[in-house]
Amino acid sequence: MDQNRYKSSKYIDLEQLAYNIILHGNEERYIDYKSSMSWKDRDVKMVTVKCILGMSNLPQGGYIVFGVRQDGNEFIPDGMEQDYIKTFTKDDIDAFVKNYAEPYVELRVTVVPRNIVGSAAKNKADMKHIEFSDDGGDFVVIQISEFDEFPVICDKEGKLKNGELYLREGAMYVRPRGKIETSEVRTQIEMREIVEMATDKNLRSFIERMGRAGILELIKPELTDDQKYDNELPKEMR
Amino acid sequence: MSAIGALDVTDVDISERLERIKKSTGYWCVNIRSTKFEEYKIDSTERCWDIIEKCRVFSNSPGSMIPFRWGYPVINSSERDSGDYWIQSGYDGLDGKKIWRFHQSGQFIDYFTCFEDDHLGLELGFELKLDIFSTLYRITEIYEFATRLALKGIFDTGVKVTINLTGMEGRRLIERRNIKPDVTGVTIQDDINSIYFSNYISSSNEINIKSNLNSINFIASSREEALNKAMEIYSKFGLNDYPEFILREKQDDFLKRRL
Repeated sequence: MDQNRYKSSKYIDLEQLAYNIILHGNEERYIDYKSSMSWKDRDVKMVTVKCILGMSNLPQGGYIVFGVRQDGNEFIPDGMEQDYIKTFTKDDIDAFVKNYAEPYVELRVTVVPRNIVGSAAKNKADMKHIEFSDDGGDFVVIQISEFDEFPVICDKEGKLKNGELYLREGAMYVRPRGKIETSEVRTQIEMREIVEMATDKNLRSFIERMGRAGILELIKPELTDDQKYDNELPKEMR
Repeated sequence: MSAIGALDVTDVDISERLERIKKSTGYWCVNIRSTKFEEYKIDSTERCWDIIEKCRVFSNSPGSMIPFRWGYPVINSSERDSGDYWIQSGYDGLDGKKIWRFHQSGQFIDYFTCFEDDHLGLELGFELKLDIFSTLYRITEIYEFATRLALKGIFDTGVKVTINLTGMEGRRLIERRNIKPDVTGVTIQDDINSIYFSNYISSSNEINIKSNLNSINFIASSREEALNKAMEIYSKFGLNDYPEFILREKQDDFLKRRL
């Protein structure tokens, strides 16, 4: 185990990540599970990037967890093969995603040690039906942040190894409600959610800028009649 | 701060006076204002004095404003001050402290100590009291004063009256009995012959009562409102069944200066 890799995750509560995300047990709009696989595989990269683009357009972003195998309706936290874990470096992932994301996506890559997940599993009552073996690998979690200012658009066409077009240039990907998948924006509801997010962010950013510029100091809220009466009194009389 | 008036006047340190009132064993704070703020509703401080003079409420009640027999609010010729947009007067004696301000906006605010808190008595270990009838008279004259201001057109839209009583925790309701006229002809009261309502003690330190009515309704119902507010105060002491007809008679006598 490369202890230095885990030190980079010191600002993340690994136990919370294990308990709430890795052991969540179901895929959600904001959680996607993948079994043990290598980042060197082109199809893995394509599938992962599409998911990253979709989650970046989701309020509060999401998580892609590698090392959780789907078995029917169950998600089994087997962990990753050690050789595969080494392929998931933040620099490589960032560099690859950067080719497809416009304007950009913020990512965090974390390796969660198996013993931490095992410890969390013992505390999770609803995990009793799943045997959590101490044997197995660690987990890789890619945390995707919600877009900063503008929604993220796919900037480049991407194809799978078999030549199938998988990422479309100019497409905006989302994680639709009620369906655990990543797809292009198809409905006005999906588009409205993203537009509202962007509008709120820009409005907030604008107000923050006004605050920094001192303009808000000039915009005094209208006082109520009672406040005006109170203001004319000496402090001691209020 | 400028001074108005032919008699000797002094500028009062309002902070110092208020501090002493607030450090006393109990005090009232009365605030009367319109529901709509208009900074210069009254065009001058001279006009403010004129309005106060004309709206003051006089009574013969011994429990009302001893030693302020000059009416409510008291105009003390030696404390008659004016600011840029307000006028002010008050009183500072062994038997009570008081200060009020009236603004050109029509806002009136008045702080005064509980006159029941006889300091000599307190030093002798007597407990804190609140007299039922004095409370009724005081609230009645406050509401009567507010009504007269409303009749002058000070409050176009509505009237808000707020009365806060502080220092009430552990205070006992009493009913003082009138004994005999004193040398000036005013009936005096005697705590020794008072009826003590042994079970009616306030557990709250602050008692707050409010009225918020449009001006017409306020003028039409201020006496009833005052009576209800007095009973609201009694209820804070746990007294909910004092005969209302007695209070009505007392209030009527008070307003007709028959006391």
